[in-house]
Amino acid sequence: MRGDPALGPWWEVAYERLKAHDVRLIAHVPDAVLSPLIRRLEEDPFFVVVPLTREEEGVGVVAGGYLGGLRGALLMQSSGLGNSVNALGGLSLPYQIPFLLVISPRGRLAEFNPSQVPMGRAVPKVLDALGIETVTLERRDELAEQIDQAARTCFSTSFPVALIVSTLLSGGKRG
Amino acid sequence: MTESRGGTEGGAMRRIDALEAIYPALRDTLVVTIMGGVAAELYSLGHRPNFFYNEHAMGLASSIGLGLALCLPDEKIVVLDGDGSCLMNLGGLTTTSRYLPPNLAHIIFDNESLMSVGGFPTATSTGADLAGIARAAGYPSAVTVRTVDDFRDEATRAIDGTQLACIVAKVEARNPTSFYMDVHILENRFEFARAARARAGRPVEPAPPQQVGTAGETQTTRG
Repeated sequence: MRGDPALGPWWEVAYERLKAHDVRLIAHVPDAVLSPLIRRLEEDPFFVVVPLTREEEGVGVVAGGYLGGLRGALLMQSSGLGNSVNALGGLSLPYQIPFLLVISPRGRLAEFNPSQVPMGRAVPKVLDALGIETVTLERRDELAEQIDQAARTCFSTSFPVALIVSTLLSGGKRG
Repeated sequence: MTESRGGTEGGAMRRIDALEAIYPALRDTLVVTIMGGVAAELYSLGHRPNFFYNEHAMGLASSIGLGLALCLPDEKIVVLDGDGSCLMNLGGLTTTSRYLPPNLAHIIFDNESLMSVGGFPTATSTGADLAGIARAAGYPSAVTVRTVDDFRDEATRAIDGTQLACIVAKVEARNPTSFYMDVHILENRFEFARAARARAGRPVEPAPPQQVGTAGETQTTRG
């Protein structure tokens, strides 16, 4: 994992920055790499953590939460982006509903499962095709600033912003 | 034509009549509708700032309703769903049942068809029982009604009640007399968010500009 170990784990920083930006509604389909962040969020009653059945639902859940006044984040594996594309294109973007889309990438680096490769490789192009601003979180020393700037763009301009948690930061999933 | 084993042989109401019957009860709620005929018919009865029309993403009206219900526990949320939309997000019924939000009333207008694309029959036309599916997913209450009087009674009870409830209203497969809606989706989204947050006493987004020098972040509405 890249960066100074004394800075603490990436998910502790992500947890702190989400809280600092008042992002309280967390919808997710669990993912191995994201699991320490999800567990950290679940421990803190500040957050409303909603486990989903399918990622697409989360686009609706964070939309409803935002309309009601709670900032949200949707956490998923890259495969879940494929399950969510029409919801992003038909709800989040045309209705300008902001949230942080936190993606654990599979099929790129540190992959062991060939069936993850095609969707994983498509993720940046899919996000780009939708016009979603995308930030790759790769360096531990830039992590807090990247999340801060992403959150400011997201909630000030009222569009979703994607944060890809690089395997260079997380170490990836061990097969 | 496939013989129908389900629904409307036992009678069905017109959806516009059902909507009209509960329209007064929607005044003090937050309403999320699906696209097409449901949105157009509700609009035709009179638009209100507390009505949100989900005009595209099929299946997600109920998920939007869940998000609202979880973050606004003191408000009553009414989802106006359809059979085609609900069938696209059956998993959402199980997600909602994990929380059993007491402030959510999930109304499904079941005309057993996808009217907006030509009336192709849905699985409820061959017996899929949405109320049964909702109960099996964990909804504590789910009923099917076929008359406007029964619908008014059940829907009013659900809206006034303190328990998650699902009402499946068997309605005729007919399009509204007009799809006219003079509300742009962005206008609807900002108006609804303002109305929902005002009810809850929550601030609007984006936050107003902060004083320079606070928290190292200055937000301004000018570019």
